[in-house]
Amino acid sequence: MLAADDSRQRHVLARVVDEHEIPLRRFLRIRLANESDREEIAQEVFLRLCRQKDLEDKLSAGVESTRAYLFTVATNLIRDMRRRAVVRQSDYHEDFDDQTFLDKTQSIEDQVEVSQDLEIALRIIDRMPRKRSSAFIMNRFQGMSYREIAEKMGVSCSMVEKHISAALLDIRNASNQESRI
Amino acid sequence: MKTQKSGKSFAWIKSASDVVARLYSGNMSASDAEQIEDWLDADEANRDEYERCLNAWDAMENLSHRPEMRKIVRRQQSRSSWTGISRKAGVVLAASILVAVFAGFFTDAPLLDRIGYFPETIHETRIGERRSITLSDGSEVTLNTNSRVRVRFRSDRRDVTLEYGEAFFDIRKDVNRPLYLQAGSRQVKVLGTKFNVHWSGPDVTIAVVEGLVAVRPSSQTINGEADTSDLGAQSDAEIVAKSEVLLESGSIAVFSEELGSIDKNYAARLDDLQSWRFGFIRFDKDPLYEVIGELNRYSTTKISIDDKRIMDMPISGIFSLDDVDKILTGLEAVNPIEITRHFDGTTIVGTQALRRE
Repeated sequence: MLAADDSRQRHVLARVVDEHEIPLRRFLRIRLANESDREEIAQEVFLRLCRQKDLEDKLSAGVESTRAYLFTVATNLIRDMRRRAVVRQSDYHEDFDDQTFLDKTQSIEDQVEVSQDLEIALRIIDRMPRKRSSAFIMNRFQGMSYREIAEKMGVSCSMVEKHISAALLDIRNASNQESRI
Repeated sequence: MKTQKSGKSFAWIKSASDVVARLYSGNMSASDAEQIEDWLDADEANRDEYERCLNAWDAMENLSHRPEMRKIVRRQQSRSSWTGISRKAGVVLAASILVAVFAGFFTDAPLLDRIGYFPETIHETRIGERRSITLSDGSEVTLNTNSRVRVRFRSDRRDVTLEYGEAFFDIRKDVNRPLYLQAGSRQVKVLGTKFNVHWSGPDVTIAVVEGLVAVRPSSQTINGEADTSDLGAQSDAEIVAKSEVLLESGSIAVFSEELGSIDKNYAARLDDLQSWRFGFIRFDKDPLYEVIGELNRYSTTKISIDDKRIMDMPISGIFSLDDVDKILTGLEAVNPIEITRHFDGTTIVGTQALRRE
């Protein structure tokens, strides 16, 4: 199960936990209301790291990228957890076949709403000021950390943060307007 | 709606998107986090919008696979002076997608153990000491004299090892995280229950006060099946020792390496077995050698009997465990025995010298 160079891997892991545990927990505190959910996700994130082969290579991109990576993993896990929770709730209802599974995992309205939101997002991203959309795309779709984006664009990290916030606000405002129509 | 706490400023938060952007910056400080929490608590509408922002943020994942999105990204790249995707970032993204695909359950806890992610705590008592400890899951462990437990809680299981001595466990129920107790030759699995475990020499005595526990030889792996082959040729006691047995409340079981016996519905004795928790000990026509053996557990000085004729003398009474010496004095007062305390700290129980009749 473990890489051949076990002690090396252990050392790397210990460092990751050391450097990122507190930021990760802080992140989870804001993202998740339920304390035991937070604990579960935090532990799972580090467990996932254990299973990574070439962990050291993957983490060589630096502290910022590693943190971005951990937050991405955590976000994915939170989404999976939500999905599981929905499925579990639906378990208590009558018969269970593929169709009811689909229906209950995501109600029709939800599906429509999500796809509408995505359509809007697509359109909005395309129309954003260039720096704003670039920063957003690099972060959301290319997995780059704020620092990497900042270096690429030749601006400060806090500027990148502002661009990303503005992009998200654009998307939210657009879908709010559409839903009012 | 909550009013803003004094001295805390969240002026930098103009909208929920600022919160999300800070959250994912990787640079959120402790005071940022506090301010965000204050902001979220300040108005229900804040929290609503924050949740919507998060949903929109998370939904972006679904966009990345859409051909329209890929087109936008390509166009961005071609007109942008920051050409090309960072290769490292690409690797990271690929890795994160891989992780998302292979969503599974915990399998690698040992590695996290070794780096200390699930830290182990140790609790112990000296001779004569008695102590209760509340564990992180709300369970309570009471250690009797001269005892030691090691505790490690992981995400999917709770492990407790009784290294020596005796302990009473009041375990908080958690169906997702069974508790495994290791004591000598036995492993006990519980979900939530109250039971007493005493390990002395080869014998492990388990008394269940409430609930249900499963006991099996600890040499077996946790997920392995008990070896029940060729049971026909074995005695009941051997079978009990080698199989997994369920103990209900009111049961007292004694196991050695090779033999095991279970007494059910032994409520009266059950009280005696856990009376130490309340600081007293009760003997009911128990032979003197057993009484002295018991008292030795609580005594820093060694007590021994030097006359075989009094070994089986029946002893009864309720005594406070706080002062073993006082118990001996009490025993001496009502039984034909004589206590001799030596300068080297040893105490000898002998036959009472000739009575002056």
